[in-house]
Amino acid sequence: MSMEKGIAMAIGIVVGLVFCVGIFKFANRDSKLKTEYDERQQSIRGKAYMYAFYTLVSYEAILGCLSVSDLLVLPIEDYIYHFFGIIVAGTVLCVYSVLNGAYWGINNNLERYKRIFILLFIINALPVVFSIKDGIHMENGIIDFPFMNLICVIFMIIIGITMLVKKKIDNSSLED
Amino acid sequence: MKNLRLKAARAGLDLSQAQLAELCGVSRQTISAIEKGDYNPTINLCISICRALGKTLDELFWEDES
Repeated sequence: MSMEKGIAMAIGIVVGLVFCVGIFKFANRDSKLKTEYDERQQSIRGKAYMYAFYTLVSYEAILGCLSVSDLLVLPIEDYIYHFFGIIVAGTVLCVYSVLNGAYWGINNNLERYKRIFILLFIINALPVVFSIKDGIHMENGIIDFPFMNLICVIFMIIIGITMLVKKKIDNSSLED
Repeated sequence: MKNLRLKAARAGLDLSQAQLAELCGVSRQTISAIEKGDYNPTINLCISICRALGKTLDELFWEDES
C-alpha cells in the first residue's frame, strides 16, 4: 500500500470522527456529544467492552499465528484483516449491549438515530452494489472491492436483526 | 426476587415504567429489571424511586421476612 493511500486513509478516519461528533450532537436530545447511561447500563456496558476486548485480542492472536504460518492467503489488502477484527469486536459490544437493554442511552433521540442508521447503511451499501454491478477486478493480485463497506453493511445487518429480536422479546414481556 | 411493592406503588400513581424512569433519570429497562428482580439498584437510585413514588425505603425495598 502506498504512502498516499495511507495518508488518505488517515484523513478519512479524521473526517469520519468529525462526522461522528456532528452526528452525536444532532442525534442526542440534549445536543451533548456524550451518551448518558444509567447505573445498570454502565455496568452492562463495562462487561460488553470487556468481552469485545477479549474478542479483539483473541482475533489478533489467531491472526498473528496464521500470518506467521503463511496461512493468510486471501487476495485482499492486509489492513482488511485488522479492520474485520475491530468490527467483530464492535459487533460483540453492540449485540451484548442491545440484548441487555444497554445500547440506547437515556439522552438518545431514537427516531433520529434510526434515520442516521438507515442513511449510513445506504452510504455503505451503495459502493458494494455498484462494485458488484461493474464486476469484480483484480489489481496486482489483490481483489479490487470495497470490503470495508461490505463488512460495515454486514455489521449493521447483524445489529439491526439483534434490535428486532430484542424488540420482540421486550414486547412479549411488556409490563402488565 | 420480584419487587411487587414497587410495581403496586407505581400502578397506584398511574405511572408507566417509562414515566417513572423519566422521573428517576434512568431507562425504562432498568425500572423493568428492578421490578422483575433482575437488578439490585444502588441506594441512590432507591432513594430517587422512593421520592418519585412518595414512599419510604422500607415500604418499597426492605425484604418482607413474613
